[in-house]
Amino acid sequence: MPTAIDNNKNFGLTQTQFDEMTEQLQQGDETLFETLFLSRFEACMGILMRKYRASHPDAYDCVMWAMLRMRQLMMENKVAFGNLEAYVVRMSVNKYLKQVERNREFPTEIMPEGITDSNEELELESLETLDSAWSKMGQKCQDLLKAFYYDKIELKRLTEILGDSSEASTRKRKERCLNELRRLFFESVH
Amino acid sequence: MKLNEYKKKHDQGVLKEEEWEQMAQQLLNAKFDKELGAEWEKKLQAKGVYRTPPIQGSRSLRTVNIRQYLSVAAVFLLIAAGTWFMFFRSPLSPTQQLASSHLEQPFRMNSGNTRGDDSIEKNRGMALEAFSNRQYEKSLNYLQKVESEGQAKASDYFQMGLCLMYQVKPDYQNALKMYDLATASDAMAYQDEIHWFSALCQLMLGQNQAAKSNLEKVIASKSSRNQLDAQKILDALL
Repeated sequence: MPTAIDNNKNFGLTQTQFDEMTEQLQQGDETLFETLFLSRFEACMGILMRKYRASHPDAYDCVMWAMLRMRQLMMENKVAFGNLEAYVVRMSVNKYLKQVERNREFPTEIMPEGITDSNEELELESLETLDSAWSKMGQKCQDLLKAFYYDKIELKRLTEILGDSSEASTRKRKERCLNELRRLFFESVH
Repeated sequence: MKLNEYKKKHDQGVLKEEEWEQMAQQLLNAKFDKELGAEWEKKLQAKGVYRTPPIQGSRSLRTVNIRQYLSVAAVFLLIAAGTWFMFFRSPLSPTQQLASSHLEQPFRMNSGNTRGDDSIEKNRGMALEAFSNRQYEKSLNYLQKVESEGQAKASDYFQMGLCLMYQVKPDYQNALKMYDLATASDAMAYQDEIHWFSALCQLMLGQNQAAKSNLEKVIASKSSRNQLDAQKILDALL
């Protein structure tokens, strides 16, 4: 027997609408995701500020981080329909608590994999170096690397988009671009 | 690991492919998260959500009070003037005013498949770029080139309809024709949007019965993003 789920917990979405939104997101159309999630941004900030006494800018940064992670998780099909609003709030809170180095740990067992903040280790200098290397790359390589690594578009679909003859040829092209980025990146390190 | 440690390993030829790929993945995530975050920040600002809360000044209470009274009075005056202008001076009916307010928020076109070297794809790419920059006349010109080559698809007709609606001198009649052509080209593509925008065009043209029919389709569609807005306009029409 199907379980009735409160739509308010899922930004007003039904399971079908959620599936459609995920599909749209994976196809590169972020309109619905942005409309829904950004409309709840302030409410999520409010929870952090009221319940956890986060400052306004801290709450803003943590919710922004959580929304970006949520986008990534949805693109990777790692988040299921159930209680999306709680996911976002929980991620924001967890981020905030880590940030202020409190000993109080939030339970993470219900959170999907891959939401740890791996970027924390990255230095600002590395990003500046990347920007410099990136600007020297060709548009086609930029598009391909962004599509594969950030927009999480599968090679099979990329082959169709790029009009390549086979998936193997797209993979080869991606490897060449990645090597090009590697060369330019380390050349830009002073 | 620090950047210079990676550099050292790279220079020594011992930085493995997988290590670099993992590093590149992290860097690209951070780079594009930053860019997307900046884009969202602008959108949030448009909704009145800012990273920094409004600063409370250190002016005297009396100055603040006088300024607050003046601000409130100015707002009331503006609202009164606006209401008078909207209802007594505007040639638009209330439903047309509602439609018009939606037409002031341009639809965001999906970048779709515009990669490629041939002239058709280039024209599509230029059309999308112009559309993103709100240069609707220019965007329309590029798409007309695609159409003249007999290569127009449903998405091209749909975008042409949008351009005709958003351009400086809107042409709602031809926008409707473009939406019909889009539907004729692919009966499934953009149907929710086409019903919605057709309704807005029909309202602006005073074709209320046709608009009503399209609004009902929007409301009935589970996938439409404009159900609530459509219901509001329909309520105003009845």
